[in-house]
Amino acid sequence: MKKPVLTKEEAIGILMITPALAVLALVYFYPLGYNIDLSLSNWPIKEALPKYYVEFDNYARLFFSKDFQTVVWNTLFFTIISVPTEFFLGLGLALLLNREIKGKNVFITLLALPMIVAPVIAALAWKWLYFYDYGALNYVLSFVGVQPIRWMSDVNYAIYSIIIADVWTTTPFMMLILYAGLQMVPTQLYEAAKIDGASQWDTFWRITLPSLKAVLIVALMIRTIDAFTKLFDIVYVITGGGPGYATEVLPTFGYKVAFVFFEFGRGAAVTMITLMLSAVMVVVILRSSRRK
Amino acid sequence: MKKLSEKKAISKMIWAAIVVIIIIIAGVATYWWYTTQPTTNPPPAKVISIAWTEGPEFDFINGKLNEFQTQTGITVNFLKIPRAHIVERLMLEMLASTPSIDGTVIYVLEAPTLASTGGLVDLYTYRPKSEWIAESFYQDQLEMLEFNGSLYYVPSIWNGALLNFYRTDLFANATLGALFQSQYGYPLAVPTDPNKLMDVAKFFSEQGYVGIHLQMTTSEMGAGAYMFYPPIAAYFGGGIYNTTTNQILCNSTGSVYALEYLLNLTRYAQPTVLEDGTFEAEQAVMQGTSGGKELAMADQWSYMYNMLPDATRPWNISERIFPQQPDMLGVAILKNSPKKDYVWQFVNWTSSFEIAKGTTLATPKAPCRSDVANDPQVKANYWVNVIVNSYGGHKPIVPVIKNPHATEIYEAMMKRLGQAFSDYQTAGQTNAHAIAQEKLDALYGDIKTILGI
Repeated sequence: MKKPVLTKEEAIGILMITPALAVLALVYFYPLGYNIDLSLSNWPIKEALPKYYVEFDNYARLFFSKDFQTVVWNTLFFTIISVPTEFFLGLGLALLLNREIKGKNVFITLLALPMIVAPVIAALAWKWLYFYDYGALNYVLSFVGVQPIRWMSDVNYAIYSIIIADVWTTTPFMMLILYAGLQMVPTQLYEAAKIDGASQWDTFWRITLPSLKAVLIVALMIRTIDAFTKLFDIVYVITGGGPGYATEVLPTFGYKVAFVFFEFGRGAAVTMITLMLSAVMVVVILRSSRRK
Repeated sequence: MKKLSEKKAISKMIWAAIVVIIIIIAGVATYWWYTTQPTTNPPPAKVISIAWTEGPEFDFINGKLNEFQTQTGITVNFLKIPRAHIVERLMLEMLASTPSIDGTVIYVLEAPTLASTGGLVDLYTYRPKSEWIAESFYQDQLEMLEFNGSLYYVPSIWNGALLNFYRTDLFANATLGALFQSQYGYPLAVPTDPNKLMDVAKFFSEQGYVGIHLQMTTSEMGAGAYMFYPPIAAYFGGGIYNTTTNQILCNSTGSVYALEYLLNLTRYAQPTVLEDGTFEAEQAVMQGTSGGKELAMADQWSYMYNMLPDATRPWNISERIFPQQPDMLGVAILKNSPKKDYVWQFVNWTSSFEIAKGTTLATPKAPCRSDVANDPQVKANYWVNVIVNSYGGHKPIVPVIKNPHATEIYEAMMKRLGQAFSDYQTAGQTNAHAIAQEKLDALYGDIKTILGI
């Protein structure tokens, strides 16, 4: 007897995911295709002219632009510094919370607060902290003899101002996701390690970290994609991308090109490059995680 | 037998899924068809929606709206949109029009971009230019807002002028006056030209004051360096880009000298000169200090004049030394609106003598009509001549770039200015000329790329 093309389970599975796929096609694949199409064209709406195709001109113009290279570098620099910082801080806090502490839930709630605050509000709060004259940060630093710093307009500090604000906002996410991961590590493993006389470092290195691997990779991937594609509010509110191009990153640059200059084609090319770069970063994370 | 019934069940489910998907697609298609059909509506209701933005004039107009509604029977809905985002909302409205906006407040910086889309109504079709002028509107202000012979709004809502704010107590101080005289060889007075401004700012700076509070933020269009540099460049015979001759002027001798001058002037400004805009300047003037030092002068908007009695230090205003860019705000009519005639009545009302006079007095701004400027009640105010002289009277208003790419050109300019200021500070405030030349050469390249020439 001829084998059916699909088993019953497969057919039901396909059936179940069909509506979701239809929705995905509508809200994801169609916009993606449209964006690709847009990135290969020029649409001078400012001159009320129709769209026409320019092949890869928008990409070429971006690749040869020194300013765009600076924007890409800023985004990479931000990601390389902020994501590991958030990871280590989040992991440290998660490990602390994983112990038996009185009022643990209160601590978790307090530590998670920055994540609850809307990013724009958090950015505004940081902007106030960074003010040269009446900002709390310079005021506090003055007690230890540090001269006031121009956090937002000094080209040497501006990117770090963004990183600090972002780390504050997103560390709780890392903390919570890693804390959830720690909760799932079987306690028997720790008990066995204790009986075997393993040191705390050995326990962490040989039990905790390997058990967290899957959660850790997901957390790093989410944050890397976020850092590449969603770093908008904080930059927009605190520095506006300045001074010069000092804090301009891919999301703010793409927004300006598309919705301030109304160069939709070039804006779409910026987002496609952003997408490709974040995909590369994710592949790097996945590949490195497969190594034994 | 069992397998057959299972197969039938699966087949039924697949058909059911297909039917559901077809129904969804049909529903979406019907909705799309319905919403894109031309409709034969009854006459539109006498309600108009005007996109509005924050500013000192908003409260005044809002408070007077009931008068307009009584006079015309038209109800006005204000849609408050942040100024930084109004242009993108309008561009999207023009790309895919909805009945949600009939008219909009437009700022002069956005006008070239919006005008070139062809989505706004030419106000000259309602009232010819000669009649606007006959009605007391200033011809040069109208022409500032003309694009290819069309007018899309009149600057009736706001016409902001930057002025030189100075500390009366410091300029009247005999000790400081004598010291200045001995150092510079002429009496200490409110400066009237760029050299004197530099001397006075330097003098006060050396005496421990902030010589002049400048707004050099490069992250804000319509404020900060955007309002300062192009007029200085024009003053020294340069510019950014001449729309009429298609000449890029940004790295001309005058433009380079202007940036060099500006870089040098920042040495006597507050430490946060590169991040300060209107709000920070307001705080500084009200407190009389910036960066922990007393202020001697400040470049700030005319709207602050009415607030000076509440300031902690004694201030007065004088004519701005440099010309300035137009800071004009008015109401435009969207071409797609079915209620254009109602919006026109609103435009007419906001540009009337009574409203123009009211906003001039309430917000201290430059009048857009000569009859308002000459009105005895307006004229009786000390500030009127100072503002008028600063804004088109003694000092010309520097026209904006009338090109669809104006916003992009200005953004490029702001980026290069930001880099120039940063480099100058990093270099220990030396090599102003070399930095100015380098950044403006880079801007020249930017503008060429933007314009595709």
